Amino acid sequence: MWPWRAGEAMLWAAGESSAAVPARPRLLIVDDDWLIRLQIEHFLTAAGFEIVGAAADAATAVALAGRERPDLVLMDIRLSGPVDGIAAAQEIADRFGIRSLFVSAHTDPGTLARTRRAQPLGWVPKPFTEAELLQGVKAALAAR
Amino acid sequence: MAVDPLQRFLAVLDEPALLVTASGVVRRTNAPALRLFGRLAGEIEGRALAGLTADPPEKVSALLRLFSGSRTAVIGSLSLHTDDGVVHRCRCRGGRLGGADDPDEPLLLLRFEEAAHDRSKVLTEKVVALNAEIRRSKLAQHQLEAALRQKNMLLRELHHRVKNNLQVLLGILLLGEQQAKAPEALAAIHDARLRVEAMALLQRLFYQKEDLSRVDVIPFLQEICAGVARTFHRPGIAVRVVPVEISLPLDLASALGLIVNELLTNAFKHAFPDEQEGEVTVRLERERSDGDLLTLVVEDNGRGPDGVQRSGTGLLLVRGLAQQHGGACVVEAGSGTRCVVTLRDRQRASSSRPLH
Repeated sequence: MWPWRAGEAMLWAAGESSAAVPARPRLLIVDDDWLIRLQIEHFLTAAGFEIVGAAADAATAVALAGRERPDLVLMDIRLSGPVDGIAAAQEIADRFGIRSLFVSAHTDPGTLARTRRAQPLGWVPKPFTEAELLQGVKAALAAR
Repeated sequence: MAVDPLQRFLAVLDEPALLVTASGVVRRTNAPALRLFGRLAGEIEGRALAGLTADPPEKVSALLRLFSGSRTAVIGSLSLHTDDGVVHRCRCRGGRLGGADDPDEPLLLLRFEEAAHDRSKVLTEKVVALNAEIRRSKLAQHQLEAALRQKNMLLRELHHRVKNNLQVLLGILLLGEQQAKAPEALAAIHDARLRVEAMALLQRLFYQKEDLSRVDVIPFLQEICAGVARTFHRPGIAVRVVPVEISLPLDLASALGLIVNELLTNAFKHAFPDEQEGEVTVRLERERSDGDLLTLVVEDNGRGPDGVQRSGTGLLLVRGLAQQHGGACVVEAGSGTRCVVTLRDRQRASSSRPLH
């Protein structure tokens, strides 16, 4: 592992597809914070992903997932409104078979345990860097 | 000789008991009474009860009169002299013995509650007091546990907000970058964002730890270096962090992380132009194992220091942080560029020993 060559296991690049990873993966972003949605969208678009929508609350997220059928949902835990991201991820998984990558600052063991029922494809802890987000998304798509 | 029925009657009582005439002469005793008085039967029987008590004779007489007037037990009290000179205040139940009366003088049955029973009363009171104390302690413990749960909940919330706010701050800087027209402005905001990213990484690593007092610094520096390497995506540049066991207080580890982030960023930006390959080594040492002076060396085998590397904003930050921690920063030519930063671990309680 150490020393490593900088840039090993780096960004997913469009065109570098496997059987599990579609040519241009379609992603849904769910986060109640506009500035954080902005970052996620910016980093992922720059890396060649297609963003099919962004939601701040669970109901919008479920509706968008049903309509757009993305390959992956990037899900925050605390959302606008009464329903949290864990419940939203679970509903999206149950109804549409689409799983989530949690992107959240809630990294305590209790919350991590609760997220398991939504069968997440991974975790990106906040605050994240561009490279960390892309690595997390790439790993989640490969794990589907 | 047949045993006296009165004696047999006394023998079945398990408390100290006496048969006394109405005038106060002891006729019969039982074994618990003898134990209580610490005397033999012969020393008691035939004696006046008043002589066995510490009470005034008239009080004893009054009590005996009271007992004589009742065929059911009446409660009184007597202070008994025992053979060891100790006076035991005893509760005494007495009454006239029906059917066993002497025609001239009735017999009274006196039963005593031993001092042990009084002690058990004291003990009972103590137990009651202790139980109350335990209840109070349990209540206090419940309140403390509830307060601790509340504190932990607030702490988790605080951690969450700090981390989330750092992400929001990164968003603000990214937005600034998107809006910037002038290349200098764009570069400055981009650099600021990378620095905040390093701070964000520090926060995340620290909050994952149980013990926030000291940080094992090398794994932490490795994370910082990996972050810089991911950002620049230069597969030709290898980064090596020399392993050593050093733990540092949080503020110093944090400053060290920012300094390494800066120096490594400088190396990636300036040391290897035109996709040139090379290596950067990060080494942290203590001057002496018990000393407070730390030396950080970040050295590359690139093209050597130029004006930008000697005077850029990054170095301004490094010098400021080094000064804040009682040290300094020197940039010199080595195999490429060699930056030597000294820092003082003012807590100095940490240990340092090479792994190899």
